Amino acid sequence: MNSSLSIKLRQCAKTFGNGAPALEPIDLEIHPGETLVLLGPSGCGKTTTLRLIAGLEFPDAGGHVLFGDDDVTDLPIEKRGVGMVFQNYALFPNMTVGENIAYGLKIRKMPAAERAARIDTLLEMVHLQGLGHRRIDQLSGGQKQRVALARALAVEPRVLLLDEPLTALDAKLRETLRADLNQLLRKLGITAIYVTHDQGEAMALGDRIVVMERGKIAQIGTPQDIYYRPASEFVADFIGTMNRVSGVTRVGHLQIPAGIVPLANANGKADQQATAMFRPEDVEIVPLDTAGAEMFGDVMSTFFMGDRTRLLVDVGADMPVIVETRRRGVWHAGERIGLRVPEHAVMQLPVQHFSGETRS
Amino acid sequence: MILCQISDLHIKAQGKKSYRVVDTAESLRRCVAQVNRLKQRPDAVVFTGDLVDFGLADEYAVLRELLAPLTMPYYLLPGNHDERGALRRAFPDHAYLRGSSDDARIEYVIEDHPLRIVTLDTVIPRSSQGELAAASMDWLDKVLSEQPQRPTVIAMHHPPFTTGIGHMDDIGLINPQLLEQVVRRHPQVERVICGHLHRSIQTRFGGTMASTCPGVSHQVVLDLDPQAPSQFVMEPPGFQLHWWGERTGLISHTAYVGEFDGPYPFYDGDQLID
Repeated sequence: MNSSLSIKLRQCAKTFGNGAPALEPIDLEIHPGETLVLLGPSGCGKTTTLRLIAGLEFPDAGGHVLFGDDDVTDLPIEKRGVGMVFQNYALFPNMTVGENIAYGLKIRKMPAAERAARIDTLLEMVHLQGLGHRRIDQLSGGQKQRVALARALAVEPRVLLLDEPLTALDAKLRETLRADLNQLLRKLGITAIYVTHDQGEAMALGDRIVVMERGKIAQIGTPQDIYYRPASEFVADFIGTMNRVSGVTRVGHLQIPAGIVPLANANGKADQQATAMFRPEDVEIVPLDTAGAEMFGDVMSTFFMGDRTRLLVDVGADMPVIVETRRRGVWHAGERIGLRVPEHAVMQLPVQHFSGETRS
Repeated sequence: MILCQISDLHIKAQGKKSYRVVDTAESLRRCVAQVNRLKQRPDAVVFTGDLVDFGLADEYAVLRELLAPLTMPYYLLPGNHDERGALRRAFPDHAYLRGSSDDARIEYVIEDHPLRIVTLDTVIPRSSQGELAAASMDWLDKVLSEQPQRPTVIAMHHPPFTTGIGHMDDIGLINPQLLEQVVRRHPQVERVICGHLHRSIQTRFGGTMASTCPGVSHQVVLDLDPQAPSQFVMEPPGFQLHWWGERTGLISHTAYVGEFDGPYPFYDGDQLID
């Protein structure tokens, strides 16, 4: 594999014909060998960003795409040395697995034996040993995506671009392929850009995640940054489930109707309206009659999920608090329980305008 | 009805020749004259892309003049040498070309004939390769679902199959399977007719047939080698006639442009000539 490539987008905007900007001017740097995930809801600009890098779209005037030190802004896709894997595997149904892989392979001057060996290596890489002679329509969806991946890698691309490659697969298959893909990307050390709307995929695969919202970058960071330190309500809502309770700041905590939530620095001031956020898995269920119970509420409903139980608890706020516990226990609707959130798990966002959209 | 298909015109302006060799304007002029003179006059002509050579306004102006003598309605669709905005501006009276913007894909349905014509736009700006848009496939699926009984031809520039001619496959359609999945659901699709290859090629595709049309001026060299050099040859130019009948279905003929010796009779009276 070639030494890894860095990619830079400088002031890349994209406006489509109808005049609505699909992408506001963005700056983005992708490090050599990094797997960068573009994450967001549909219409956020993530696919447009990928297509700008691929050469399937071109930025509005003033935008530049750099591969290493080369400005590739004006180069078409076939001159950029990119490998692509799509959601809908773009394979040729009239060719075998091996022929599909070799199609992308630049076999100029490569002797037949060497070519066959190369195909075998690629098949092994994607765990399809011995299937080179199969017809494409004899493969499962997951196998087809493995062929698509092998074909994209065959040309030794400078960068691998993946556009929702697992979306069309069923959940279990998705997980297996995700794990394999992760291993492969680490092993190859190739610069990869991965588009998805699935936060689980993003966190499992990304060295860094770019969360996008309405044509803008909402946050760039490691999966931990994004999950533990969301930069906005949008990011907090989009990644995982977030509880949100409002109250009045006191010294060291937030006073809510059903108790208190620790808040180390209640933005410095007491007696202010504020909102605290915390993840369902950070809420502990504690006996009501102990000093440890800082909040109390009535169980509204419970969902047993096997490895954990999810409870919706009414704490007298607008929205119930969602609790996820791995404790083995049975809780009943109407039961009153005590809750506690450790201080380190509580987040408070900088004051901003509420977007008006909520997601549970 | 007869649908005539003409492809890969590569018209240049100011009398320039394509690749410094091919007088593409003269080739098209001859073809148009020949189509007008056909004994069985086509009901319509569809031009399957690469209408001009560099997507320039003055090239489209020349094209417009060259097509003016056609005595039947004609429909244009873009190929990798075309530029959507310039094409639209040169043919403002062709209502089907209109779009929400200059660079919007040119995809439309012609309902005026017994054979329904649906066109797809495979152009990636500045690239020789082609791509189908996912949104276009949703549109196509919807359009085909509306009239499942109407015999339909899908016309597009890049063929959705590999041809074996390596340098052309290298600049082929990057996601043909999207189309295959849609076409397979709609058995009324009689044919997927394409250009790009400058040769007549057929294959089975999505439960129907897909084909490419000869170039109307120059042909791509027949060389089924993945390492074939990118070359053209001045074999006879051609076009195709897709002849639709209720009972016969769609029958496709390839015709050649030019003056050829003949015709000669096979028989003298009722005797085969010895």
